[in-house]
Amino acid sequence: MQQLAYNIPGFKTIAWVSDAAENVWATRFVKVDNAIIDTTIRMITDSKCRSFILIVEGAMYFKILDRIKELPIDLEVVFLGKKTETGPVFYEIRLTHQLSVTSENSSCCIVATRRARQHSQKEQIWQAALTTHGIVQEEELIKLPETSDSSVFFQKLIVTVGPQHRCCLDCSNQRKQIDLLFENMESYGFVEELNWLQEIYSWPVEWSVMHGICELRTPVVKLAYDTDATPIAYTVQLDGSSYPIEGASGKRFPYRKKSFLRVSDSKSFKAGLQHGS
Amino acid sequence: MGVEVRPLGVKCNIACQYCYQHPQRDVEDSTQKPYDIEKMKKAILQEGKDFTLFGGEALMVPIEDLEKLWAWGLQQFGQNSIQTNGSLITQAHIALFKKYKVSVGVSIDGPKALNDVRWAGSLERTRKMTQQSEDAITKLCDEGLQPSIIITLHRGNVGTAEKRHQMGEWIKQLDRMGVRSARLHLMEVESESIRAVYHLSEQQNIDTLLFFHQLEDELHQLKFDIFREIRNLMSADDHGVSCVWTGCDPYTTSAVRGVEGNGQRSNCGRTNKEGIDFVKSGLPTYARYLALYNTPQENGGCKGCRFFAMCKGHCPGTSLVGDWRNRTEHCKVWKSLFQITEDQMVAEGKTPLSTHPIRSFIEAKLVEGWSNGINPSIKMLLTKVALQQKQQSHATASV
Repeated sequence: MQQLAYNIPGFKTIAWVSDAAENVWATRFVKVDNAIIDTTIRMITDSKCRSFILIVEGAMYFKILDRIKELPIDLEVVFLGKKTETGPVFYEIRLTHQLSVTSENSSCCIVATRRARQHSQKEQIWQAALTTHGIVQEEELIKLPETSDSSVFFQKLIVTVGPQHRCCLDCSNQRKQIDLLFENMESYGFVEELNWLQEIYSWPVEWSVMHGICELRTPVVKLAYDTDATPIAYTVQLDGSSYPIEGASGKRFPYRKKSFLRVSDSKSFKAGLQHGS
Repeated sequence: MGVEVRPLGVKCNIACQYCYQHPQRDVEDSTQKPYDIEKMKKAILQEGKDFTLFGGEALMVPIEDLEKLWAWGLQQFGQNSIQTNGSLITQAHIALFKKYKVSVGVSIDGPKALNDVRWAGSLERTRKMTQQSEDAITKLCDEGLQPSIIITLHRGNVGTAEKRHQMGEWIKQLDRMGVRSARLHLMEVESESIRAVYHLSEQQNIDTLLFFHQLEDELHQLKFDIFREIRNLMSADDHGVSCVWTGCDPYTTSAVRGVEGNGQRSNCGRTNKEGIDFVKSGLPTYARYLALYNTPQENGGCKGCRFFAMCKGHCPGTSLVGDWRNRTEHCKVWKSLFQITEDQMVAEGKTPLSTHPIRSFIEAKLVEGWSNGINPSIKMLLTKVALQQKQQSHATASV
C-alpha cells in the first residue's frame, strides 16, 4: 500500500440514506452501544471473562468510567488520535477484573495494533484483508469472503469489540471474543440488541481509502473520516448475507441494485443515444 | 447559498441524455411520492432563505399548488424563483410569475436540433418540447420577464464549427430579446455511454469557452458568468462566485440546501453518484481540500497548482472517475481559462493572485481554516490583512 506524507486532521461525517433509515437505525445503534457496554461490564464482574477490549467514541468512555467507579474493574485507555487536533474522539479501552493477572484478549491483533501504532498508521484494514483466507484481489480491490469478520469496519459507528487493529479479518481469537459477547448479550437479556448487532455485521459493506479520506458505505449510512493518505484508492468489499428493510437501492456496491435501470436501460433513452451518435 | 425545493423530486417531463439526476431516476421507485406543502414550508423556514422551485421539472407541480407556494414565498421573502426546462410554461404560469415576482431560469442547450440531447422520448416529441421552450423564452422576454439561461456544452450543440456558429447566432438573438445572463456548464458525465456520444474533448471545451468569451464582446447586455467569475477570482474577489469555486463539501453541499417534497433535507444532486438522495450531514468538513492541496497532481490532487486557491479542485460532482476525493476531470479546461486570464491581466499591468506574493499566505490561511472546520473566503482573508496593516501603521504613526 503506497502512502503519501501528509495527515488529514481527525474528522467524521455521516450521511444516512433516508430520514426513515436514520429514524430506525440511529436509535438502534445507541441501544446496541449501551448493550455492549453493559454486557462487557457484567461479564467481567460475573467473572465470565477477566479482560475485554472495546473501541468507544467520546462520551461513551465517560459513561463507562462512571459505570465502573464502584466496581472491581481496572481500566486502561489509549486515546486514538492526536490530542492537539480537533475532531471526533475515540478510545481503546481495556476493562480488566482487579483480581485478574492474565489477558484473555487476542494477542495476535494486539501485536498488529502495536505494530500499526509504531508506524503511526491510522488504519490497518487493507493489510488485514490481504492476510485473510479466501480473498479475491483485483489490483487495489479486495473482495472478502462472506465469513469474514466485519466488526472492524464499524468502529466509527458503534462500540466495537477488540483492539483497534486486526491481524486479519478471519482471526479466530477475535471471533471468540465476539462470540463471547454475543452469548452474554443474550443471557443478559439484550436479545433485540443482539439481533440488530448480528444483522449489522451481516450487511454488505465497502471500505475505500484515498488521499487520507476513508469512505465507508453500508446499506443505511455512509461516512467519511480521516485515514492514512494514499495516492490511489484502495477498496475492501464484503458481500453480506442480509440487507436491511431500510437499506437503499443504488447504482453501485454495497447498495442493492435494480435489475432494470429505469432511465439508462429504457428503450427511449437508448433511442436518444442512437440519435446523438 | 440557495434553497432548492423539489416537490416532485427528480420527476421530469423530458429525459436529457446527460442529466446528472439519472442515477437517482435509475434506482428510485416508479410510484410517485406525494408531497406535503406544509412540510416543505416548515423546512424552508428552518433554512431561513428564499427558495427556488427545482426538479426534475418543477412545472409538473399542479398550478394551484405552485400558486400556494409562490403566494407564501412572496409574503415570506418578497420574491420567488424557478429553474425549468421551459417546455411546460403557459400563459397562466406567466401570469403567476408576474403576480408573485418569480425569477425564471430556463435550462436549454440551443435552438431546434442543437437541443436534441434534451431528449423527450422520440425525435418528434423532443423537437416539439424544444420549440415550446424557445417559444416560452420569447414570451417571457415579451412580457418583460427576462429569463436567465443555463446551457450545457456537448457535442450535440457545439461539437462542430457549424454548430458553434449556430449557437452564436442564437445567443445574439437571445441578447436582442433581452436575456441578460447565461451560465455555461461543462457536461458532468454519469456514464461511459454518455461520455462516448456527447462529451467534448478538453481542447473542444477550451475552444468552445473561448468562442463564447469572444462572442461576449459582440453582445449588448448578455453576459456569461464563467468569465466574470474567473476574472474576479484572479483579482482575489471571491464574494458571490458560484459554488464550484468555494470548496464544496459533498456531504453537506452548503450552496445547495435541498428540500424534498416530504420536507427531507437533501444535497446538490451533482455529487450524487450512487443514485441515493442522502440526507444532508450536520457540519461541513473540508477534508477534500486539505487532501487536494497535499496530493500530487499525477495522483488526482492539486499540489503545487498556482490556481488552487481560486479553483480548489472545482466541483466534487465533476471529480475524476466520479470520486469526490479527486480534483475535477475538467482541470485542464479551467487551468487554460485561468492561464488566459492571467496573461490578460499581466498585459494590463495588473498582478493576478496566481502570481502575487501573497498567494502562499492565502493558501496557508485557507489550509489553516479548513483544518479547523472553517472555509474562509479569499476576500475576507485579504480584508483582515489590510486591516491589520492599517492598525500597525496607525500604531507606528502614534509612536
